[in-house]
Amino acid sequence: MKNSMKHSHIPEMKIVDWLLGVLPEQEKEDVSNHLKQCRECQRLLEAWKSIGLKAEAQYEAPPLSHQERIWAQAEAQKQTKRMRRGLRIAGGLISAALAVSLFALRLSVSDGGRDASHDRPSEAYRYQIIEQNHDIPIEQIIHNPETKQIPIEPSALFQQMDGTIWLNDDTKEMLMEIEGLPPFATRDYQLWIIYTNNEVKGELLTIRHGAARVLITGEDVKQFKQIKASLEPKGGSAAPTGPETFIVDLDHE
Amino acid sequence: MEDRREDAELLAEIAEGSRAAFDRFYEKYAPMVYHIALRIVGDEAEAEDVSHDVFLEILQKPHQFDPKRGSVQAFLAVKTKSRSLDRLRKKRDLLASRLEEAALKEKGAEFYFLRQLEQQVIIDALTHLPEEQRQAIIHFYFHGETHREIAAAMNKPLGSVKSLIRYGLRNLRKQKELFRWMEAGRGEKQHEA
Repeated sequence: MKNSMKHSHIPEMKIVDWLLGVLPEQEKEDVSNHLKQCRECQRLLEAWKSIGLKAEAQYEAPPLSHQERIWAQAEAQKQTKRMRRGLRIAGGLISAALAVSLFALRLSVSDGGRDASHDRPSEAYRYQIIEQNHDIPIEQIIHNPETKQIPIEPSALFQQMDGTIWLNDDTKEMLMEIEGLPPFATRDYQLWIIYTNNEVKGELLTIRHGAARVLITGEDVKQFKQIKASLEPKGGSAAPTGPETFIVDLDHE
Repeated sequence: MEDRREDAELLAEIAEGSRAAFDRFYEKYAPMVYHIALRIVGDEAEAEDVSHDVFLEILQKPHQFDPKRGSVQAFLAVKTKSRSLDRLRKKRDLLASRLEEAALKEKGAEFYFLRQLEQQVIIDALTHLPEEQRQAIIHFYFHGETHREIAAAMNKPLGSVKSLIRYGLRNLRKQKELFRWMEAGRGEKQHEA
């Protein structure tokens, strides 16, 4: 112990334990001896002292308690991992099924096809939401060189959330992918589209295993100024009321 | 010793998915974690985020804790410091304001932690600064010297040293070198040799 401390610094956890007074007597003495001769370790100790770390300290409780949310978030991520594992296993089967589906689709197109949108908004709005699931056609927008990719920065309460928006004014498309959303039995996630004239339009998000994927197409896409999401009472709200999940400024330039 | 046993039991129960154990663990240590985060990042909302990340990590990887290396408190303290520095790397404005605060203070050993951020990259960025500003910043951040020590070493009045550091930082920000460095998001250097 003494030899190792002579030639290298003390592990930081040990310095913290020394400061907290929880080291066994011999280790405490070894650390004390090392501190006397090592300026670098002294500095580290001083740094910990300066932030107020000490034995028997009474720290103030954080302003908000988030254990409910942390627990829910961890559960959501567990589900997402399970889902990904399942998807990997099912990958081979899906590829085979895809070939059959494409064949069936070609047949149906000759019959007039079927509108993919499931949630057409009122006449005042000129956009449509293509299915909120994992089967929507994303390659076209993602691989288009004119498409802008905008990372989604989650709000303070949803830090484990991760997501991206792809925006293309030429094709009038906006694709949004998010994951890591904790489930809430009595709440829904609601997407808010804010127009350049500050008009706001809400859309309920379909969350599957903590993730959502939404493709919005139409003339209005060029008028979207911001996209944000919030937790709302089941069924959604007319205007945002709940905690914000994220907010993204859309750069159209 | 009793406390250590309780902590080990709580972590074992958390690993088995016990919500009650997690709640107890959170109530016991959230104030300390939040306190450390707040002292390093200097912003309440950011400190809440850091605390959130730390406890989420505990919940997801309770086996990370190795009792041979130290107490749970030490484990949480070092992890919180590390996550706080990660946050400063990610939030360039926050880091810039923390560095400026450091530049204006005579004391404040917690800024030692800021000096654990990537030194070489910022030293490279410093090459574009006027010589005296560069020297003052190196003395202050990387040698950990006080303003008085720097004043003596550079043979300058105390006020001039503070100004040199402040102007140096401002110049760095103007050049965007500092921001580029912050965005580089390189790994934290280990204290252990």
